[in-house]
Amino acid sequence: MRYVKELSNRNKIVSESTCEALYEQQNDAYTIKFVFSGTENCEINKRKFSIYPDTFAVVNAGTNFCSKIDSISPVNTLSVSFGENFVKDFHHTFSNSNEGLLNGKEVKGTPAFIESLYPFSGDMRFNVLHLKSQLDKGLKDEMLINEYMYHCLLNYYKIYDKEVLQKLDKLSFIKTKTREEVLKRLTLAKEYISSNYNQNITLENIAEQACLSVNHLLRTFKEAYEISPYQFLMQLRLNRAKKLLQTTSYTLNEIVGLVGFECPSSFIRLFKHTFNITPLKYKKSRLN
Amino acid sequence: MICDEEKAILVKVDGDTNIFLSEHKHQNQTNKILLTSDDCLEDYCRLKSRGVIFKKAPSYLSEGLSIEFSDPYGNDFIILEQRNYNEE
Repeated sequence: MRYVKELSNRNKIVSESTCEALYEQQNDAYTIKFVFSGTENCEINKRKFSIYPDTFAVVNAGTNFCSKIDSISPVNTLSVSFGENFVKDFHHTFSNSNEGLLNGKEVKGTPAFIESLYPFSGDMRFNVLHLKSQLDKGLKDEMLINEYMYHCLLNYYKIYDKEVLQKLDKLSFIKTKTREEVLKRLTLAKEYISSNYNQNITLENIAEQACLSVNHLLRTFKEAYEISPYQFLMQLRLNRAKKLLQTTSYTLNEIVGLVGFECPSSFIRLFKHTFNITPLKYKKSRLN
Repeated sequence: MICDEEKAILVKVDGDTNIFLSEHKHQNQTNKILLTSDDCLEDYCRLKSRGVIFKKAPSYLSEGLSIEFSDPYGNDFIILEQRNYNEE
């Protein structure tokens, strides 16, 4: 099932539920891509990454974008594209408002974001889930759709501030250019970990993907995100395991394998240590 | 406490909600009315298209998303969509 909603201001929403899909196209507008269940595998500029339900991807206008879905159970995706003028107006208002988080920073005519994965949580999640459920119910009111999209951008700017601008400030390099370059590479590292979290990945793999030396990666990753790449990987595995416990009927052993843990006992220990509840008790509590 | 001679109206919003409006007679009587919503942006658009003027754009609070408006008699309405940010 797939539907496309094009609004008069050139904003566009594509919603799809499918087991198999392959798209290759030049992305003609700023696009934010969400996945509600399953995984969407993407490629931009020869970079591969996967969108899981706890992340969303941002793709700038003009980028060559390729996406692939190949799954046993249907994958639900939503792709929200913003017309050029909609983004420009928003960017202008946002940058000039007193509450604007970008205030004091240089205002460019059109924004260019770091194309990567961002955490899909908080208000962004609430608003996008509302938008999706309204569209599924057949919402036609363009004013309301635009309102949701406006808030989607607003939420994204806040996330961008937190995930990019605030992280830049944490890096200890003096030159802005260096900080930007290092953060870009750290973003690649995070993206690689997030997309391959269930594989047996090593620090060397991550460093290679990020074009950083292992030592450099360890030091700067911790500086920006306050945790090590390994801790980040463990958090991802645990949180995704938690989601699987909550939403699927997989057995504990299956989930342990799915999220990339080698032995159930270390998974159970880590899970309990992190969430103060054992995986099975958690699953039971969510069933009620 | 409502006295016998006090004027008041009961507005039945829907099956579950009643709003009780009375004259401002008591000192600590509030004129703020808090309504909860499942989807604040939807209510915002619906009310805006029917001519309600909002004090400001929908704003994000630690409890969730909210909008505020007043009626011509000085009653302040707050519509709040409660959001639990701790649970995924």
